Amino acid sequence: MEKRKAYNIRFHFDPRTKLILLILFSVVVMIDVTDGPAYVVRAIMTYIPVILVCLEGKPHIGARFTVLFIFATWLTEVAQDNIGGVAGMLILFLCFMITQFAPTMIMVWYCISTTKISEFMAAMNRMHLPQGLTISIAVMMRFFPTLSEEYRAIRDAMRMRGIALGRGRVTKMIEYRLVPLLFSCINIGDELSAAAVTRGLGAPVKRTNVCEIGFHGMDYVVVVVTLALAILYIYLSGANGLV
Amino acid sequence: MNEKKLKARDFITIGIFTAILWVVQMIIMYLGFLSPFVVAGYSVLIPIATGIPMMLYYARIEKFGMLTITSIIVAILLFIFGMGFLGAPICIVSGIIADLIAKSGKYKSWKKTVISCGVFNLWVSASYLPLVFTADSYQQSLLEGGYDAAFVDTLFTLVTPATYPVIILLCFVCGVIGAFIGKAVVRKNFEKAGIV
Repeated sequence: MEKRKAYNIRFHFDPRTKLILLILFSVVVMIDVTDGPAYVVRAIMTYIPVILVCLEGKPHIGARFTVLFIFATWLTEVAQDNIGGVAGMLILFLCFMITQFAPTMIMVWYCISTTKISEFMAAMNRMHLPQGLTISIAVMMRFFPTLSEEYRAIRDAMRMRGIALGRGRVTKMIEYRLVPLLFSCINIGDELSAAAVTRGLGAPVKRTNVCEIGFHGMDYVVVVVTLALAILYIYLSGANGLV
Repeated sequence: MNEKKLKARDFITIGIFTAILWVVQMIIMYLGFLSPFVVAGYSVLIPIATGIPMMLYYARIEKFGMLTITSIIVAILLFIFGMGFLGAPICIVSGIIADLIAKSGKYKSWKKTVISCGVFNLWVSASYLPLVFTADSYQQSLLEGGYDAAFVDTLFTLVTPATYPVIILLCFVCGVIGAFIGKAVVRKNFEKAGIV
C-alpha cells in the first residue's frame, strides 16, 4: 500500500503538463518528415507517450504499440516496392496513418485515459478558462466512448431487423444510424445534466475541487525533454528544406 | 431574465453535439483514402452529413454562444490532429459570425438559421488550407508517405489556389442544403417524438 502511494505521486502528472505535451506533439505532427536525422528525432518522440503509458502501469499497451509501429514501418518499405494497385494503396494508407499520426493518437489516448474529469476541471479552473468551455470539453471527452457504445447497440439492433445495409441505399444507411444515435444522445444528455445540476454544477458560487494538482519534479523533466526534442526536430526538418 | 444566457445543461448539450459533429466528420475524413475525389468532396459531404445533428442542435439550445464554443472546440481538435495554425482562426471566426447571424434572427427565424448553418460550415474549408498554401511540401510529404502518385496528382489538380474559392462556396451552399435536409429529418423523426 505504502509503495503504491509513492508510485502514484511520482508518476502522476499534472493535467497541464499533459496539455503542454499534447500541443508540442501536434506541432511535430504538422511537419511531415520521412527520413534523415529529423525522422530519428521523430521516432524518439513517438516513444515519449509510450514510456509514459508504461510508467502509468500499463506496459502491455506500450508493447503492443511498439510492435504495431515497427510492423507498420517495415510494411511501408515492403509495400512501396512490391504491392501495387488498390490493395497497395490501402496498406500504404494504413501504415501512413500509423506512422504519421501515431504520436498524437497515443498521446491523446494517454491524456484521456489517465486524466480524471475532475482533475481536468481543476486544472482548467487554475488556468482561468471560462467554465462553459471547460464543461463542454469535459463532457465531450467523456462522450466519445459512450458514442461508440451506443453505436454498437444500434448496429446490433439493425442486424436483428435485417436492415444493416439499408437495402443498399446510402442515404438510408446514414439515416438509420444517425437518427437513433441522436435520440439516445439527447436522452443521455438530459440524464447527465440532471445528475450534474443535482451535484451543484452551474450554481452561482465558486466551486472547490478535492483533486490536488500541481507541478512536481517529474513534470518539469518531461516538459523540458519534450520541448528540447521538439525544437531539435523543427530545426532539423527546417534544415531539410521541407517546411 | 437570464433565459438568454447559457446554463450548465446547455454546456453539456454543446459538448455532446460537438462530439457527434467531430465523429461524423472523422468518419468522412477516413473515407478520403478511397479516392482524391472524396478528399475534394469533403466540402460537399461533411456539411450535408452534419446537417441533421446541426439542425437538432439549433433547435435544442437557441442561445448565443453555442456555435462559438463548438467552433473553438473544433479548432482545438483540428490543431491537435495537425491541421494547423491556419485553420483554427478561420474556424473560430466562422463560428462567431454564424452565431451572430443566428442571434439576429433570435434563433427562431428559419432563413437566418439556414444562412448561419452555411457560414458555420465554412470551417470545413479550413482543413484544405495546408493543401493550398504549403502545396509543394505537402505534396512531397504525401508522396514520401507512400501515397500513390496518381492520387496525389489528381488531388493537387482538384485543390489549387484557383479552385479554393469554389471550395469555400461549396461549403456554404452544401451547408445550406444540409440545413434543409436536416430540417426535413428533424421534422420527420424528432418533432413527432416530441423531443424538439
